[in-house]
Amino acid sequence: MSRSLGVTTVLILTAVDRGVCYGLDIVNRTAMLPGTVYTTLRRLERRGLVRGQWEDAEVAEADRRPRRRYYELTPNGEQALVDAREHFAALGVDVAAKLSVVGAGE
Amino acid sequence: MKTPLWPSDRVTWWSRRVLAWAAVVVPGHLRLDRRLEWEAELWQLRTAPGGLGELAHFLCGAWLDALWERKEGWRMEFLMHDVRFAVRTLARSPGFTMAAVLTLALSIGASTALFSVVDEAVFSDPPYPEPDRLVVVDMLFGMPEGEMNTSIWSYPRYLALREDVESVEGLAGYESRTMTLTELGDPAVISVEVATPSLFPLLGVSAQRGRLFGAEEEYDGGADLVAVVSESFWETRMGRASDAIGSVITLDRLRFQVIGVVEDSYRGVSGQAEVWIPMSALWEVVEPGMLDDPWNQHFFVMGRLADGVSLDRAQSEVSVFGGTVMERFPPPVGAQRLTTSAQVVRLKEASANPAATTSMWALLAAVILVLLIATANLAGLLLARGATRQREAAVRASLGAGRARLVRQLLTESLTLAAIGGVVGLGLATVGVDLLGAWLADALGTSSARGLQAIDTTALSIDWRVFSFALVLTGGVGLAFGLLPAWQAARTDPSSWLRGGRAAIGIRRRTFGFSSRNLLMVGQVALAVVLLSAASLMMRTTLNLQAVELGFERDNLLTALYALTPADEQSGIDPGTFHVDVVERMEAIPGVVAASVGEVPMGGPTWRILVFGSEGRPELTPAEHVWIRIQPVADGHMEVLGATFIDGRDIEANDDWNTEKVVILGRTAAEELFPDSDPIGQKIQLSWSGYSGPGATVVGIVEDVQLGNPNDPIERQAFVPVRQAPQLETGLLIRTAGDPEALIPAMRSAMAELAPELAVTSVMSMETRAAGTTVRSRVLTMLLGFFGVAALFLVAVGLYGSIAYAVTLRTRELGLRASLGAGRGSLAVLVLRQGLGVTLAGIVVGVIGSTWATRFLQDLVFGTRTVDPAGLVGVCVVLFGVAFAAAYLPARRGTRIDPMEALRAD
Repeated sequence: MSRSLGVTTVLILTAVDRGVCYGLDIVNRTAMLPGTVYTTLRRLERRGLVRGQWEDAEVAEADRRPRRRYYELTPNGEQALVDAREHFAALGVDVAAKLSVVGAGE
Repeated sequence: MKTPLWPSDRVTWWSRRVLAWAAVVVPGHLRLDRRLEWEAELWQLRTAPGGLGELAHFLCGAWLDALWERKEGWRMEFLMHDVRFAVRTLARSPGFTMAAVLTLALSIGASTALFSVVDEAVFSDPPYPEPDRLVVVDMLFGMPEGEMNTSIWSYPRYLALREDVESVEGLAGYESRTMTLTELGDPAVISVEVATPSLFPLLGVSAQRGRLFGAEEEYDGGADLVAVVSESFWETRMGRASDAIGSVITLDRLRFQVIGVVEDSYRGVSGQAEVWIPMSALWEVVEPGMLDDPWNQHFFVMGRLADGVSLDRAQSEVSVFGGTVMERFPPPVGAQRLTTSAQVVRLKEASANPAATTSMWALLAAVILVLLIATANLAGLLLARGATRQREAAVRASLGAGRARLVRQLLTESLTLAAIGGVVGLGLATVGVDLLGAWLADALGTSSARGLQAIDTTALSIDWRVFSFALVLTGGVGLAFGLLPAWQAARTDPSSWLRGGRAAIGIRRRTFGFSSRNLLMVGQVALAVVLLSAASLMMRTTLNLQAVELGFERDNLLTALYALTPADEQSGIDPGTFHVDVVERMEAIPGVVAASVGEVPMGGPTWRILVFGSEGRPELTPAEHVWIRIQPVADGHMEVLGATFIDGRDIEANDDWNTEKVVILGRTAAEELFPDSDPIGQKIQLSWSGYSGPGATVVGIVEDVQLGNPNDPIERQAFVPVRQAPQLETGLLIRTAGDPEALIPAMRSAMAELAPELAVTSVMSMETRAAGTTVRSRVLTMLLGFFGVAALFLVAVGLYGSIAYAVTLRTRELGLRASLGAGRGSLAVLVLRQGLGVTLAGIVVGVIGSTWATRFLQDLVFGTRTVDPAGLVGVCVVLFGVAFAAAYLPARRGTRIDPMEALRAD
């Protein structure tokens, strides 16, 4: 990756990495605003780092709720996340502290 | 039974609506996906406990998401492609494009130029540092009936104000007067500002050469005659001489030493000053002692709010001061019943000229109305064009162009058109600001009540405010006339087009396309009615002003002003004798019937004094004293003026200092002062030298003469012999046999022989002078009339186009009707009904609109109410006539359709 990812992007990637999840999940995990989360997800999806998939109709039916769209990392996305972590480490920025916040709600 | 999936509360329902709206923004292929995703999350939110804040965040997030997707859909190359395509399309119909661009450019250009004038008059600050803190302090005098209200100060009162008031600092006095410059080229009358030394520091004005006034110019019972000159004075009159400082200039025959040149092109608070002299010099120029007299009021006062002081606080301190004036400076006889106060007004506000500003807003509104009409017209044209381009749209749609894409293409076209119009218009405005803007500001009035400059015509420019105005106007116009055709195109059903050709959907098109075109026509007609009714109001005002009974003959009357100086008087010239000599010299000129001196109607000079008493009621109490406008005149004055005698005689040659004082009264004064008796032969006491003791005998009564502007109220007036009560300053009135302006050279040379150093000013025929007083309403009439005719023309063109198009669309129908035996008359009625119905609807809306809109012209009209039924009827008749003509031409064509050809056409 020639271009490094921003902190926002890395946070969202990390949140997705912690488990298959949907939009509102990520909002809750990262404590970011929904608008930021959505537009970042769209961008990541377009760059092929994240993949969105509709859940099975039967699952939703059984839970008596609308179908959700779940997001997961693609292999490219996993690589990008590793690179980004290295990049931040090299900069000496303590992303770990920020990242540790992610998932605190779980 | 299953429970419903969604909670049935109102919040959920509305939230789903908001999501549905957001989905509309998302490009088509993603729309369903996004909406379902948001709904799933909304469901999560609504079923789990959460606050409304969270919900709001989520809904905003969804909208942001939608907008982001929309933005991603708009790629730059698409946009450039659209613009290129738009330009190609526009170039393909050059006639339409030229007409549209020209209309837009002219109206955008005119409104931008006008807005730059409004911008300077209304939004710009005075060109001084910290303009918000600059204030004018008004001295107010009230009378029980509110008759007199002045804002001027006397020097002792000004000193007291400076001493007492702390919330306003740097207090400075200023006044403008004209003085005669001699011994520097031809005698010239120049504008001089008289100022206390504190004025320049207050305004932050500095000298570029020499120095400005300092402590040595403060008044201390005498005067140093020094002067500061403007850069243009230094340049044009002194040739930028390096030894200008220390040289001497002669003003009103007094010699002033030049001590400095002010910075840049500064022209004083009046915007006209060429020379500044210290106020202490008035002591020499006007009369010794005037600066020590607390009741000799002659100047305005300006100051700066002290640091951190609000206007309200300054106001309360100043008004307390104003209330003490009577106590501290006991008034002379006759002024006891005055009440005093003082007020603080921000400089920006004080220098406003309300009538001029209203005129400008009215003109701006008028231009924008024309622009709106042009916009509606263009929208109508584009709608018609859109109908003919439907095949193109249908082909593109069937090849997969999304609806949004088609709309965007059409909007790009209209915006491109507007942008070209806007750019050309802005170019026109840049030129127009200098020519039209300055001329207009001059015609409407550039000065204000307190001798301050209301509009600096040299400062007119296209600044960021004006530029944004033009930008918003252009964008708004482009969107406005593009949206309707775009909307129409979006509703195109491609399959029906491709299947059936024109005839198949001709009917559908008509039902929709026509109603919006009709609406546009109604709007255009209504706006034209508003515009024309405003124009008719101003025309009526102008006519009313010209028809005012002035009480004198205005034809063949040459007028001028001149003034002797105290120096003349000191050198032994008696003003009374001098004025009589002038009259005799003038009457010797061939072509002059008679001449006199006195107040020139609409020109001055003006004096008002108090009447103390009259015979029969000798001891009027101070409360009964009344103001009267008085004028020393030469013998035979009423004859020269052409005033109508009611009773008594004119001033005669032997009414001089040896005989008893006499006076001629105007009708109003005579009726008020002698309500029950014949005034002739009775005496009145006036506060005028020599007239107060025994008083003056009334020898004549004339019909009131309008000495002020035609729209001023008539005042009580008195005329006294110039030999009995001479003043230095007077007007010259010459009754001529022929064209008065032809005698100007002879008059000037005769004056030059009599007094080479006397400057004669404001030389013009009474006709010209009267025209000058109505210039604002005439300019407004002319411009509003011009805009009105432009609007009428646009409406006619729009209506013609609209009906002609309707006839084309209905060719088959009309042909069918004709073949079934419909007569020409009934076919014409069929077509006409449509056009005239639209016009009538527009007229109704327009009349309602104009009764509301013209109320803003209240300050500008004279002799008519702002709702003028006769004028409105006239406007409606004219509009209906034009509409009839515009609709009749295509209607006639409709009746001539050959049934066979029409039926064969498709």
